[in-house]
Amino acid sequence: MRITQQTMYARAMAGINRSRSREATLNQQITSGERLEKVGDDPSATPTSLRQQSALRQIETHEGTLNSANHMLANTDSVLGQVTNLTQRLQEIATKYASDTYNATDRAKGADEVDQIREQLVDLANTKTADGRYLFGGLGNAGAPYDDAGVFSGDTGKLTVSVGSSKIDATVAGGQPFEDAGGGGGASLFSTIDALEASLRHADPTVTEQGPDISRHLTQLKTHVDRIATTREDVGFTMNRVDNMKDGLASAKLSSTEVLSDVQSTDMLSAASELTQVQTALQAAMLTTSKINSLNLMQFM
Amino acid sequence: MSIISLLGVGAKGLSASQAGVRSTSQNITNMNTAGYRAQSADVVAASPYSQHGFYQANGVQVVGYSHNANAALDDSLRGATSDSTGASVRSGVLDRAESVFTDMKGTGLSSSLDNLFSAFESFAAAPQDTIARNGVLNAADSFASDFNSYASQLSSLTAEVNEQVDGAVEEINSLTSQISELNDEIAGNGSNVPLDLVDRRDQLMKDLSEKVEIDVITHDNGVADVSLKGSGVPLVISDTQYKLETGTNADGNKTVIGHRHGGDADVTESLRGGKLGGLIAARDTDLAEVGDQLDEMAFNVASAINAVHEAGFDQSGTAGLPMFTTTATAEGAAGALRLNSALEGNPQLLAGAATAADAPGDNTVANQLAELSDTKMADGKTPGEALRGILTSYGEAANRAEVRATATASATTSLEETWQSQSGVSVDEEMTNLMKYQTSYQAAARVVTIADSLLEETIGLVR
Repeated sequence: MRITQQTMYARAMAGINRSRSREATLNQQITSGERLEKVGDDPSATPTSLRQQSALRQIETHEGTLNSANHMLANTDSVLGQVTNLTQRLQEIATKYASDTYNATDRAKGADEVDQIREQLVDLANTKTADGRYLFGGLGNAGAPYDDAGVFSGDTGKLTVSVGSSKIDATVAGGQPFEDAGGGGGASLFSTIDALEASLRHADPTVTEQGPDISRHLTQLKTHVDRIATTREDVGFTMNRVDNMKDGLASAKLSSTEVLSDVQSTDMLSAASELTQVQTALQAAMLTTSKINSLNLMQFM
Repeated sequence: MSIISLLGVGAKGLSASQAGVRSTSQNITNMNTAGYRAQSADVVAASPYSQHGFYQANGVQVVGYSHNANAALDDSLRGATSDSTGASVRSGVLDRAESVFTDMKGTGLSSSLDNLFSAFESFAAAPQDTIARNGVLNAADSFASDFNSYASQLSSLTAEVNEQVDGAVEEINSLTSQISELNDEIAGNGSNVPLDLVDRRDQLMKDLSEKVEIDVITHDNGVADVSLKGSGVPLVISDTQYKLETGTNADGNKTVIGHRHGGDADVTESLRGGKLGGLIAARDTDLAEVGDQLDEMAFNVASAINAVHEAGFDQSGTAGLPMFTTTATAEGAAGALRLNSALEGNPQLLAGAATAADAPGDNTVANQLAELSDTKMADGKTPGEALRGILTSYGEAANRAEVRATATASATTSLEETWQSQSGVSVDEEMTNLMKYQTSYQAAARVVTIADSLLEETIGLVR
């Protein structure tokens, strides 16, 4: 083939340009640590990278949701702990004052304590979270579920949150720890308390044997304590489930991060070695370009 | 044969060598002129004359200058040039549009789509929390404005392409005007075709092929007719130029209009290759496609979210409003997508409850909104799948364009090398020729000297 000077210079320029552009790409990949900057850089890796990035953002959201559910559940658990203590105190009072060694004045003192406990329990039953939700108000949650008299005005729904395809009950059913859902005579905790207080004050003059009248409430109180314990257990199970889901998310996060790094990050070792090759090629191209001029017939004329 | 005629033979040798040196010098001075083909002097042995019953040698005769022109190669080179310029211009436009999509860096629409569903999920976890409700409004607002930003960046790029279409048409008209003038000059010389003008005209046609793909028909008198490939609309016929014009179509995009016998023709869709073909392919195929896909997705996502939200009840138990407002059909939806202005600043109007009775605390609809993230929309894809589909297919198109630009460029380079090899100026060759003509000139000069001394000898005989 007849090679003209123009061809030689054009080839030299093309060679240098090619190496320069590859060098720039590699430099960019090495300094940024990212192999993919644009959707067209490696179309086969684009969907994987986008999917994993999105998965990581979703995992973060789910973690936030689980934390918020966990927070509500822990709050419920601690409130129910206090409720249990107070209800057990009521059992103690009922047991203590049922004894005939106590006179009406002593029993009236007991009644005062019961009244205070009732107030505390109403406050606990109206516990409100930082984001304005009554823990025991049910689904509608329009206002405080209990009035001062301990009458429930909420509904029996519960707040369920979706985490991906799973559902978590972030609260217990409205009023559940305090209301008897059938069985146990249908009395709420507060109506039992009211009845206990009435018995302690001997409010019904037709009652002759005050001791048994007081102790008869122990059965109902036990039903309440048992129900609260069961509710706490359920809350505990749900918290366990939340923990397990968080563990699951953490491992999903790890594997997504790994996959993402596989497709998206620069393989430093191979990039650096390719950069060396490209630079060597560039040096060689420059050397030969500078020699194009030194060998032609003119040098010999 | 007389001694005087010997002098004549020597003189012819001198002028033939001079013609050789002249063509060599012309080649050397034009070695970097684009499109210049190396010339050589054509010499033949001069016609002998008959004397004493036989033919007498009559020296050498310069019959003209020629160069190595290969019409088929020129055609291929022009075609390849159109291909590679078109592919590189198209890839350039796609590359610009590619930087609109910042999704690979974890920002852009991908992130604001996830943030929207994340806000729905937080809203569902705390339906009465004003902060969570405001979070939904903010996320919905940035989701809409990211769609707007993608759409507006794509449309300003389209506007830029339209300006370049105007520019390319002007460049084409300027080139065809020069070609028609050169055709006129070339035709004026009859059968004696001026090589340098032909080279210049051919180079202009190659420049023209960088703007758009053309067909060329060369006539015996050296004149070349140029027409648009595909539509056959004439650009130059002999010394007449047919200008292209631009118009505007219903979408507000520039069209290209050619003149031909029997009226004007819109040739936009038949244009192939070159800057003009590349611009139009990028605009009408790639940008239009990704724009339509974004519109469809914006429309589908907004419709799906609106349908769920409107079925819900807000904090005071009133039926939900549409969360987004946009166009009535998918066309232009991405650019028109907005957070419903009635919701702006009114987080209490977000409808998270399934019934009016359960109004403030119920999160059923909020959960449904969050679950839309994994729900197939009207196009049978989840919002995330739809977006990733759009971005991936765009990325593939951009990558394909780049690969094609590289491949066609190397095809063009190899044809350029063939052209150079056949017609270009080689310094070594010219140097060799220079020595050759120097030697032949010196030898011819010696012939003249010898003839002169022979003549002197002859004159001496008479003395």
